[in-house]
Amino acid sequence: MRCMVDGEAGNLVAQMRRGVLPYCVLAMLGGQERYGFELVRSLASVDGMVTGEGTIYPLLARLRRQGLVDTTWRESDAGPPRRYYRITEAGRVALTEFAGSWTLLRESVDALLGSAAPNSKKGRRTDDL
Amino acid sequence: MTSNESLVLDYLGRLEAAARNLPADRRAELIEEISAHIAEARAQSASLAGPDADLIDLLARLGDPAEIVRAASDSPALEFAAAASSPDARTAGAARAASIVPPGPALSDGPAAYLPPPPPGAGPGALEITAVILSVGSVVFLVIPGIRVLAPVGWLIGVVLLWYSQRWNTADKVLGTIVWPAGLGLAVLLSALHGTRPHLHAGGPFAVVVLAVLGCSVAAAVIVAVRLLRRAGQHPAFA
Repeated sequence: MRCMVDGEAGNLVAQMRRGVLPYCVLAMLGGQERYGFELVRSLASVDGMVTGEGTIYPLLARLRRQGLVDTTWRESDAGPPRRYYRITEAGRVALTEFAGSWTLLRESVDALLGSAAPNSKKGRRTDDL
Repeated sequence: MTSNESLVLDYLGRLEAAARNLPADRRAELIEEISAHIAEARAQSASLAGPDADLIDLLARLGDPAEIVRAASDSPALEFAAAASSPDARTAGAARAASIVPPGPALSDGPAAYLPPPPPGAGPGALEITAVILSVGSVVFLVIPGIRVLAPVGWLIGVVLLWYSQRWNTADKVLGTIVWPAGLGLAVLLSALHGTRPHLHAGGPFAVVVLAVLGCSVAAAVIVAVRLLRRAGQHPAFA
């Protein structure tokens, strides 16, 4: 119970990361199709986004089941065949939707975190009556 | 190379064991993807020195098979992604998102329930205080003999201000409008039924009932006034 605050904040950040990860994947596929390994490596190169690269594959499978991405197997010049992922129209809709909600949420949270600062609170009281 | 093969086989074996509770098609797909990932990485780094170290690093980056399977089983993102793509839930999502911004009284009385947030740093403004004093508070004028006649005029001005202000939703405005006429109307009605007038010095047990109703309506008016003032001063940070 004593370490609850630290643990909860860390856990919350992990949950938020997991929650936004599907949309980060969709965003990465927004401009071009990519094969699994390439996608996973690019995502993993972004600081703090991914803990284990392997966990992206279940996520990709889920996005495919939801119809947000499409896949095709293609031969590569060197090495094994590659599974290419491409965003679908439904995926774009979901991504646009999320981008709007995300901006709104981020701005709201920023505003609230900002108004919790001691000096902005003082400003509020003087305007009261 | 043999030890490399066994490293990979060992890893995929652990993955398969961890994934035994997944549906067969999902388990097969997962193992296929992870195998392809490993094959791709090995094909790309074939020219690099120290393949053993590379492979160990590769498997470490992929992560614990149990964790990969956990990612395949629990799906907190699933509902949200599914919600975003179904039109019904999209509206619900938008409403959820909208309720983040305004103070958000949880009343379902139409668009007015979601008010624009008051400007930052605002408590109840002069307009709101005047509106409350006149619409709800002017019932007090009634018991002061000198200005009794001003009570209806004050009430009317107060109600106009009440509806003019952007700080309240429809439910609050209706409440502020009716609290005073409702209590008074009840007292008058009771008096009319009894064929008497609600005078303070009228005797008899029925006058007591009328006075009690008047007292209750004053109390209700005070409660409503406090509620309205608090609502007007609500800010997202305090809501």
